[in-house]
Amino acid sequence: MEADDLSLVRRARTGDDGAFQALVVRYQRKVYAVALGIVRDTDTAWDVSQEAFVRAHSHLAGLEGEEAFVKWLFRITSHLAIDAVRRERRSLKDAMEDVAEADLVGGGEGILSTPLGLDPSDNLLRRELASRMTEALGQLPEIHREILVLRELEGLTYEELAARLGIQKGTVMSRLFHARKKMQVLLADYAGLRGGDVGGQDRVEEGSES
Amino acid sequence: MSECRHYAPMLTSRPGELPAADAQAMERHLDACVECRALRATFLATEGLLAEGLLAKAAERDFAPFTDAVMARVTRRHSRPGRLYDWVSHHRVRAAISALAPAFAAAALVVYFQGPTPDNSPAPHVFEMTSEGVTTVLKTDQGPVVLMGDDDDDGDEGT
Repeated sequence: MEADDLSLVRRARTGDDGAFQALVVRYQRKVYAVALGIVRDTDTAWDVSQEAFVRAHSHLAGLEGEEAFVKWLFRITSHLAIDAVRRERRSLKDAMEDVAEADLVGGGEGILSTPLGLDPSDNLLRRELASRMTEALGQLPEIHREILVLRELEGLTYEELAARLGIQKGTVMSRLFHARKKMQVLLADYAGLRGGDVGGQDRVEEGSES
Repeated sequence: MSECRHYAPMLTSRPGELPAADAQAMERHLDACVECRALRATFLATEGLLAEGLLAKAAERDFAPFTDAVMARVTRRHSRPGRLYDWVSHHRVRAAISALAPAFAAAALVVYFQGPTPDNSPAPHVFEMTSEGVTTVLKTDQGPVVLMGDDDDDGDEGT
């Protein structure tokens, strides 16, 4: 029987490397998926993911409430990934909208409830669409990529996104809408999804609600 | 049209995420607007696909090296003596200077109190100084040193 996160974290805190390795093996792919969604580059995502685990290990003693380990790990990962993107952006002198550093906050289920391959509704089209979606993610602006990954992989709510990104809830809603709308446009060719200006929503501006 | 713009940001909401009044108003709008209803349906249909796609990408990679690399770094941190080791390893020059500083200070004190020794010969240690007539004799630990007086010179000159 597999040990639960709580007992593994407790053992890891006492210096049990085997327990920490079990946590690494359990979550490394999901951590990598979060990092990849934000940074796009596979090598950078690999490095960011490793750094996330190393930092998590070095701060295990300060973790409040061991049951929150996974959410905490994802927060570390997304922070590191966003930092990596910022560094890349600075080096390219890209004038994208800045994303404020936010304190670590709790997240929802998100990727935790996404057992790949176990969904009975999985089919070839769905997997193909998921693959296309991942590719399309790279064509989105940074701010849209980030909010989509945080929403879909970490499962953050509007309020949690607002806290994480340091923006108003209304801005979160409109930014998320635009991100998903652009994604639909990019996917329209593949799956016949509607990508046009439906009902004039394209004219919704970020921050139009608070 | 303006109604659509008002409700568009709500189309990405999850159940229970909107205030009840907003959720009910959005539902009423969706009942009346086929375009927003279609967009909402599309959003719901593709919810979670991104996570699946990224996880599929992750599943394509061999993570054994990843696990090994993480554990190697973690174990290395374990084996270190602690923060002092980290500081020394990151500031080697400063650490070397800090370690040698007391030795340099001690050496400086020794040099200061010993004073200069220009001819590399030990300075005569004066134990006793006596005057015998016009001749001065310094009794040192290296034997007596006779300092000739002016009268001797005069005497020499006289002979």
